[in-house]
Amino acid sequence: MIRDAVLWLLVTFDWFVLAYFLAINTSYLVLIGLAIVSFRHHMRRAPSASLEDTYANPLAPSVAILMAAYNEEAGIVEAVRAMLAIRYPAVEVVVIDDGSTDGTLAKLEDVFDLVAVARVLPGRIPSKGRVEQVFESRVAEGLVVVRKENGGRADALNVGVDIARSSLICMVDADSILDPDALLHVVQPFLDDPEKVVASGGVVRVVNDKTVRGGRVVDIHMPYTWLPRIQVVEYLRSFLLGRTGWSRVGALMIVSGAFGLFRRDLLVEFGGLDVDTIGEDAELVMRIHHELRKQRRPYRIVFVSEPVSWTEVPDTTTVLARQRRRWSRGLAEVLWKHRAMMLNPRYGRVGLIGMPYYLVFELLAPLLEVFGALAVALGLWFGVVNVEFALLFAMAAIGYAVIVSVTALAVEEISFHRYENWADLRVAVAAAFFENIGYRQLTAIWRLQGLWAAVRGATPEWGVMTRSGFNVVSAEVRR
Amino acid sequence: MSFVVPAFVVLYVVASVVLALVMFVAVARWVRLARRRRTERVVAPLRPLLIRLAAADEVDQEAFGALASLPEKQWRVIEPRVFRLLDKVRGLAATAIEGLLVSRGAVTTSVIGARSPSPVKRANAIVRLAALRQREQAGLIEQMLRDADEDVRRAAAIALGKIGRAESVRPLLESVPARRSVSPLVVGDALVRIGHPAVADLIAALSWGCPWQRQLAAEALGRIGTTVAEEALAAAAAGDESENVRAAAARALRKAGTWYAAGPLLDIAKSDPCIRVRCEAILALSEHSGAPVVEPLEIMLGDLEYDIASVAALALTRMGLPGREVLERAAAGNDHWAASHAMEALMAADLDEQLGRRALRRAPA
Amino acid sequence: MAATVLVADDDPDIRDLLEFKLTHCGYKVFVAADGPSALAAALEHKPDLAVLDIMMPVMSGLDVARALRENVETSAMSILMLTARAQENDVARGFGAGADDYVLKPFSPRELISRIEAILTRVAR
Repeated sequence: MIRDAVLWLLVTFDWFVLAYFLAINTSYLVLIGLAIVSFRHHMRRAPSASLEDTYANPLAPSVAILMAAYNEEAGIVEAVRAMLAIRYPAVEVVVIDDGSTDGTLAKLEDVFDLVAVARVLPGRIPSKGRVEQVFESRVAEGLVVVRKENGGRADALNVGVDIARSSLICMVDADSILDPDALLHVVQPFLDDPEKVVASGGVVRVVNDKTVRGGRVVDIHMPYTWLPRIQVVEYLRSFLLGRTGWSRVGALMIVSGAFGLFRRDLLVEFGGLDVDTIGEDAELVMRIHHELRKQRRPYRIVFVSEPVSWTEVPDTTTVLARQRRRWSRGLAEVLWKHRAMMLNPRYGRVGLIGMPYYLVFELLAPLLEVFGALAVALGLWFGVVNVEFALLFAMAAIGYAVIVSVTALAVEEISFHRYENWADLRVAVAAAFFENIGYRQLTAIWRLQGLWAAVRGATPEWGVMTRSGFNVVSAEVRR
Repeated sequence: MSFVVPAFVVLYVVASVVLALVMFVAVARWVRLARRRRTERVVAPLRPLLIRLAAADEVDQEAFGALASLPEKQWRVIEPRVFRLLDKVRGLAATAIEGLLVSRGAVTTSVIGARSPSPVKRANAIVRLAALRQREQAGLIEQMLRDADEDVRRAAAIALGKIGRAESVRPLLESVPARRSVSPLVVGDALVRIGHPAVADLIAALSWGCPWQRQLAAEALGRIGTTVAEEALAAAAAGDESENVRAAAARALRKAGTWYAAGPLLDIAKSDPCIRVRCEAILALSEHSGAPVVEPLEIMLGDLEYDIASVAALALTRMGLPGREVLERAAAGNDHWAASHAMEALMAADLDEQLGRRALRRAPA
Repeated sequence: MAATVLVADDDPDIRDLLEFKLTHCGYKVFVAADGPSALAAALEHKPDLAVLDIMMPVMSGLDVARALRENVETSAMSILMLTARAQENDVARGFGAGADDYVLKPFSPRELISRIEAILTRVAR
């Protein structure tokens, strides 16, 4: 009797999981479809909208690039050089040395000939770590270096927002490399619609084993090992196409911390980044949605799909695991913190579509991924489902996903086509298979661990967690 | 359990879809690379001719003749490059390239293109007419400020700025609040590019209905830097109902003002309800008024509003010796707040002077 | 002896155009496509004049100009800035960095040559 009930539950669950996978993969396809519509618009526009016009426009808003650095001595000089090489008329580069214990500051002093200056801080955004000294460079105009006590990435960026004097704030990771035209691209939405646009995000692309010369990526090709190769495809599908799609829907919820542009007055008004959250970038965007919707102020957050920012992804499972646990935990926290928006019509598409989607198809996906496969295996074992069902399940979960990944490759091919060699193409197709066979299941386990950590709510170790999360990952990613 | 569709059929379908997509990618890549190679093959031998044409002091007949008589197929490949080069030069070089383009019928095709049903073609046609500086076509382009497609409208605004006709000022400003609008920042750039011929209409626009229009008019007058507009700008800075317009007008007075504006600016700096407007007024004051405003600025140095104190300090560094004396006095004084702002400004000014950076330091935005 | 000119611009059209034009006018020309190679070429060949684009990759024309001014061997070199930014501040910045002249893009090749000649004559006097 009980056995029958359990088996019935098992069968039902198996069918449910099958339907879930069909739905999640279809949702990816829909997002890709929306992205195609955006790309078509973008491709049409490209020839007539020249970056030179933006560059020469005296009314273009001024931008401050903020870079938080904690023990980044290996790459800091190169990263700052890249920021200084950005093509933009009015740019201020603020590097915040977040109490590094290595030679980060010494390297900067050495190369950029820093001099200590007096600077009164407005103090509009409270910060945990005290600011010790502000420097300016004698060789690079517009470079400001702030030395402060350690307080974590969010805290460092908050100090940067406070001290910056431009009307837009661009937050970048110290280990990502921007294209020289990056700002001209990402500032475009602010030029097109100065009244409404409050934030824009750039796409982050993978470039491991790269050659950087003078802060510019000179050869773009697929990475040499499989783990980063798979992430190339994953980033294409989920970041490039996924976020372009969400931007089209009008419910872009995540602007990557590696390259986002925000209005400074708004950041000051909202008190800057949340220092107690792991995913402070995502939290910021959610807070902007939350507050502005609540106050019924019209606004837009736009995703820019041009390839503008390059980052190195983890090439060992240890580092990747840590990153994914952190992402998953961060997402859980953000959704929980802003749960008031969930399914609340007042919050428009973000509340009605974006939030539920991220809950069901992002945060909880690893749950279904792991237990779904387990349940089907059990079903086979107990003979409640047959081999044909298992095959069908595999097609819905894996085959369909491969189609989605290869579709993403096809869209990239007709739009930006950045990885151009024929050898890259073979590798990319293979990576599209491996992404769905093996890689996804592996990351699902890590994401599940992150989710579990969030549910347990290990609050006591918060401050420490944030900080080590930031520095350990970014330090190890570099290697 | 039975299925409507047998599982192996699904497997088969999935496999063929994947295969088809992979083939699609491969073919797309092949076509793109082949096309690029072909373009390079055509362009490589012709580019030196183009450079010669642009470099010659009088039209290089040989180069001109060779390019003008290219077969249509090759011309179509190189034409975008010709336009690109045209965008980078002025004077005789531009005249020679324009001559080449006109002889190949570029104006006619662009005028036809401007009526094309495809927005891409319309936008491209406008970009080309502007590159060819077709003043006669400005009327046509002005109409396209009301095009259904937003990219076409933007291209039209940019083009009108490049062509630079005074008559375009009104349609440009009118396009800002229209239902099918053009971004104010793009229109502003176009107005600045038109420059002095635009001044009369811009002054009139300072009293138009939409705040964006007034703001852009002020903004553009400031960048053009004509003192003719001083009175109107001072009035706008003092009395406009929108703080954006007041701030823009005050900023414009930095360049478009003289000693005449000092009085009104000082009042604004002291008493405008909006801090941003006050900051702009303070900075404008520092540009062209001497000793009389030093004292009020000294008081503002102690203003508890960060922006005011900071901007007052910055302004004082631009006011020569009297300003410097005030800052040095404040830096040594008891008011800690004023002293630190004075200190910051002095150090920054010294650094800038040492490095020849000429007081370009930014005030808080 | 023919005067030597360094042309530094990341745009190949402008580089080739100026190289052709200047060679045609009897100058000896060196070219560079980015800041560091412009600086290296300037230090190696010690040209009489350098035409520097402001927005070059890696190191801007302003930084190159400052570096040239600071180096004893090149501090007397004539510098002409080339840029698309027409605002007063940008021009001031160019002169602040040590430029002898400042030419806006789009530019007239003929006018540019006249300016180069004028600067070089002034220096020779």
